[in-house]
Amino acid sequence: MQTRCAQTSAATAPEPARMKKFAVYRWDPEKPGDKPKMQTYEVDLNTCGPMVLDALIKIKNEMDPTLTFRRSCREGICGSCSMNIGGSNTLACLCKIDDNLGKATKIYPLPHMYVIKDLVPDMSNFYAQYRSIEPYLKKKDGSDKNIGDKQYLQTTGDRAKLDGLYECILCACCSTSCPSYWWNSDKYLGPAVLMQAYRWMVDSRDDYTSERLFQMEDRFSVYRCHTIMNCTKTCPKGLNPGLAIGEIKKMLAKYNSKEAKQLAQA
Amino acid sequence: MAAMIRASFGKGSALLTSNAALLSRLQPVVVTQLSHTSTRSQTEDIAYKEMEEFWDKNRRLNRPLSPHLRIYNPELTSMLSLCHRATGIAMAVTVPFVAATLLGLPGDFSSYIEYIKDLHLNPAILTAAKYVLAFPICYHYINGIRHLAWDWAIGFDLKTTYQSGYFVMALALLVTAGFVHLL
Repeated sequence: MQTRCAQTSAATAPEPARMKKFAVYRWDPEKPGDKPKMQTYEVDLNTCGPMVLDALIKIKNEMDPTLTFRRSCREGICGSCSMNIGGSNTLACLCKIDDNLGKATKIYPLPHMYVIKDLVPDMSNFYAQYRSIEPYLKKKDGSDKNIGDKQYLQTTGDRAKLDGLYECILCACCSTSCPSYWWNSDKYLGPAVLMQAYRWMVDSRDDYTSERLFQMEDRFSVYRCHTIMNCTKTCPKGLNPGLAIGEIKKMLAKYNSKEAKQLAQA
Repeated sequence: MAAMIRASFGKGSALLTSNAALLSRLQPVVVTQLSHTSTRSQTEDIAYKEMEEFWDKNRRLNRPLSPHLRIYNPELTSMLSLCHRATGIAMAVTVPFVAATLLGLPGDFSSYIEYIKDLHLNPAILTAAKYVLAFPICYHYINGIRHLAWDWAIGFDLKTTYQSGYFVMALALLVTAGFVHLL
């Protein structure tokens, strides 16, 4: 009995609080004349989960319910919580809190995006650009009229070409890390969308490869990429958009553009 | 019009591009400059309409733009790319300028070298100046080879990118030092 009391009392001895500062970008569209500013919160890491998203949720629950951010799966698969943490774009749910209590962790929304509120950017342009590359299977043999009748067969070798491309969760970390996309987000498609365009170009079941390449034949859609490679550095899923864009450029150099133009304008 | 400014200066002008980006925000966004406007599918039409609505709405609401340059981590990838651009612009500007100036000024090239010798400057200043002159060409040339490899889609994985990046910077500094001290 005495031993058990000693054990439980030892377990409940309070640990010294480990207070970590978070400096978060705030802006409220409902406050007239409000300017964007940084607000600092202190969180005890002993009572908080290990990831930055845990800290943000703790702040929203216990300290400031007005703090606004996107989140959903909390496991790095939905792409909602993408933001700029400590200077790099990543998913808050996958980003471990830096244990160094002497430094504040800076949290900003994705760079060079219109801010709806606090850490929430307007992603409509990004989604419209994704839509513009027609990210779905397109067939020429009329088989899409009877979808589901027959399987579209694909060799394991052809399926392997999609590895490293299909896993993209469209979190926009890469596109918003690209300085070229910052200056030209209206006309340059950005690494995320271009990698998905490549994913459909290289899918053996898709019949519109030449037309998809021809869509890129202008000065801005692909060719604003100057191989800065911030995209590959920042991807929280470990994918390589820079490589995909390099392969698109190679394909553009090699494919028959005259034939594609005739096909596109037929 | 913003596109024409960018076209005439090609890769060289980061400053003009940022001004052009500002200009393009003032004008209506011309998304129809793409090559295949006559053959757009319905999906593309919807997409371009959504893009125009995006710019209209955000300008109307006067939303702030999230910070970018001042908050983003300087990575090896972006810093080396910036160095490539900066050395490129530096050479593209100074080489024709110096050549044109020397063409216009009296006397030939060696008389100006004599003039600099006669100034009896501190040799440290001369060495520093030599480094400043030699580094751009060395770095831009060696990083240019890295870019050529990328054009063939070679060396794009992150580990190789970083390794080749460190290697290029080290080699460029070595070759610069070689030019300055051995020639």
